[in-house]
Amino acid sequence: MKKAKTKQIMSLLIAAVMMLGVLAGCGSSTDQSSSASSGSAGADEEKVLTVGIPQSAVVTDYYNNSFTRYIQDKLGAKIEFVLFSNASEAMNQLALACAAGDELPDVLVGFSNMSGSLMYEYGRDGFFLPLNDLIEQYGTEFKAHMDALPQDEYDRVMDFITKPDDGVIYGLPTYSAVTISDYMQNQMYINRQWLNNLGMEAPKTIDDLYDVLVAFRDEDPNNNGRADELPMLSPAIYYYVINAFVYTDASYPYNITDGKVWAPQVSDEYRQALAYLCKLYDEKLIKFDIPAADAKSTISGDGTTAKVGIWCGNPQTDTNHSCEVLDQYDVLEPLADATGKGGFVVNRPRDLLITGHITRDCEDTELAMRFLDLCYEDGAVTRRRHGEEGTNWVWSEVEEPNIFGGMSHINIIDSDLFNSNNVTWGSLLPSVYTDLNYLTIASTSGIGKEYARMLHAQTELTKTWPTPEETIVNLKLDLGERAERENISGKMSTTSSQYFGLFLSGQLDPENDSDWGRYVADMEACGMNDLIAIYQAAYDRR
Amino acid sequence: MASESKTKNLENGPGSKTKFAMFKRHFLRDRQLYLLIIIGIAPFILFHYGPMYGVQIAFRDYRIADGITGSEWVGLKWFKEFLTDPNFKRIFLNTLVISLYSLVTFPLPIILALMFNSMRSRKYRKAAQTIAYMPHFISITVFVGIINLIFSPTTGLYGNLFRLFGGEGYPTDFRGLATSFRHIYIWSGVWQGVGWQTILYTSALSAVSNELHEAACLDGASRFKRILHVDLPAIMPTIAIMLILRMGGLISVGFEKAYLLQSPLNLSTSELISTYVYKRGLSDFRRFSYGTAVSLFNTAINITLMLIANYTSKKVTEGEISVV
Repeated sequence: MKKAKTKQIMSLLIAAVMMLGVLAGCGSSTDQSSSASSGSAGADEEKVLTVGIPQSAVVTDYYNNSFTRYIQDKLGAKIEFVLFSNASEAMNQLALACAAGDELPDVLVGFSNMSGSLMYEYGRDGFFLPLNDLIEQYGTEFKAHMDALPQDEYDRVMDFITKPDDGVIYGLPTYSAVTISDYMQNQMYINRQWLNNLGMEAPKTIDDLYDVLVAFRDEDPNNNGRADELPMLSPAIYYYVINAFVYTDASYPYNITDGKVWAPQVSDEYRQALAYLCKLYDEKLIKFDIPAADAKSTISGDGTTAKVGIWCGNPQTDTNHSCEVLDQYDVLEPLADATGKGGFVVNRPRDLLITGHITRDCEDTELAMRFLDLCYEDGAVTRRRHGEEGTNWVWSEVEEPNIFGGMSHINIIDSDLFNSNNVTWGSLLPSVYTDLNYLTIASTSGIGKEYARMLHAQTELTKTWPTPEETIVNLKLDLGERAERENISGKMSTTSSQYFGLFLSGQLDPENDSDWGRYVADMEACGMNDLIAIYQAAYDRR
Repeated sequence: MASESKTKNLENGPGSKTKFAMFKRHFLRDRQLYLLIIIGIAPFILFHYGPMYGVQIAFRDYRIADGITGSEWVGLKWFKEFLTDPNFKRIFLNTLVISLYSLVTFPLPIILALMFNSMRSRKYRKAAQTIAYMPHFISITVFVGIINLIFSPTTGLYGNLFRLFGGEGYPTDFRGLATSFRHIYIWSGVWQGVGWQTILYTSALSAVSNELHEAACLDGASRFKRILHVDLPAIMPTIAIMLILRMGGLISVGFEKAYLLQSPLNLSTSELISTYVYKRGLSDFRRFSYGTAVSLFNTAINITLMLIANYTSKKVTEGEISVV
């Protein structure tokens, strides 16, 4: 009898434990934040700020981290982290946490995929707190940096972060006061050594490009006796060559000419560009980089022999910085089309993102705002980017040119920061970058001399390259128009990508009127003309 | 009316009472077993029936702050938006084609299970089965990474083999061809899943009586004839049930693998309902209502297909094989 009773109790216990095990999966991200808040309850003497941040792959430890220590010392408070996954998935996690009514961290930083309209939505629904008064009271560093900007840039940044209808600010920006990476994203690099070996000049027009690519494919330019050359490598975003025909900015695919907004994606020039790309693809002169991770190893070749004639992309993300073969590449000037008309480079204004918010669950808004403001302090920006002075970088006595043409004092001595480290937070924090925050050319040998040379040469060259006089990038749309833009452009990007694949694989022919007509009709069905009307209205009332 | 129900009660009364009394007696006797059932039922209620309450956001303009019941009722707005989307026709067709294609591979695990079953050496059979199961345990992300590595024309096995056997330069990159997406998707899925899918059939085959085989041997049946006339009829009910269930999931093509294998170049065949909903409903726009509406639309089609398959099976087998 007793044995049976024990058995019963045991089976009950086992059932209960299994039940708990099954339901353990129901936990959510609030587990982390609640444990974080419980920390604050017990520490009366020490304030605690919970920071929500997308986890960076290069940061090995957020707690035992010299940047964390720096912030804690300056702030006089302890930092607890709520780690989200990488930047784009973090947006979904945040949306789900809000929908589930989870407790949010006091501040969110590094959510750089946050669009303006989404931020207003979070603000309107009460998830983000208005920052106007807090900035006025505690935002000394932020205000100082903003006041130092030229008036037109000041207006642009403030417009970007301010909700149009009521002037409320729900987020703080990351802004680069140095013109850099946007030029970098859309460049082609050509192998100078291969050109020399073949006795050819760098191509100036798309016809020259075709000849050079054929020679790269057939004439063994790397002199190793094997047909292992890849004439051209391009990411699946294929606007590099198209810009020789018509100005096309992948993110803002509308142009303005003589006060009229029009869509380059359905223009005749674009059609010619597609036909040209199909020709290159058919003749195995261009390879599209799929998946994107392939580019690094392909460009590097076997370390000493280059395999790629021209590659398109961004030296910062697409190359192995210390790779030897990089010294063979020079930036290729924008190509002209067959009629000799000049090509373009995409003219994007300086980097501007929204990266800092205070949430509704924050009790100590003063502390949260002081933290966000501290992120703008020069010392914090330099530490976040380059680590500790003396260990990771040294302050040079005289100013030297940095890789983007400005002057700087920072000489890097430890390149490990580009790999794993526990001296930065990885993600973008609210900050204003100035020339002072960039590395000097002299010090960049540690991170890849050739990489630095390419960036520098390219920055210099791009200053003289042709760009359209007017673009739609800075046109102001109201909230309804923004929502409509997101809806339409989402459909259009899917449609245009699908057609690109169809054209390239030969299932459709861009030169065939009926195929091209189908493409144009589908683009129009997505609401292309409505979006043109929206931009036109914005342009007319500007 | 009242007298009618009274009569019914009188008719059913003693029976129901007995049934209830029996249930009560059984429940008290087997209470520990019932307690154990809760473990299985609770997650089901929690994760499958619970969320159904939220399906109503398909008919509302869901806003996080207003909650599920507080958001504005918009009726069929999201369904209309999806059905009138210029991409709808293509992605619906893509989904259907890839589903039907995957249906073609349905017999493969059956054939493999029969092959395993016919192996003479028990040791060898166990080893072969284990090896065939293994790919099932690779996560989809890692699996797509393997596909990418193998099929890379520059650095992968495929490119290297091409050059080893005398090819010049780099072969065509199948990963970027719209025409090859479906083949890569389906056949890599077969490689990964076929071993695992044999388990059900293998267990059904192990239940086939040896006497039947012996009798067939005595009648002079060859090994192949025995498979055809003994093994296959024995597992036919399992095959039919699996087919009906498969029909129920026909339009629900897995999201992860298609999304990971996607590139702008193969989008004309690789954009499926699930990936499109992720992009337009979750990833960039957080339009939960839209995503829910499309999923509901998917489910409605799946249920219809399953009921048709079930009805057909019922008719053909004269009511012997059906799931509902």
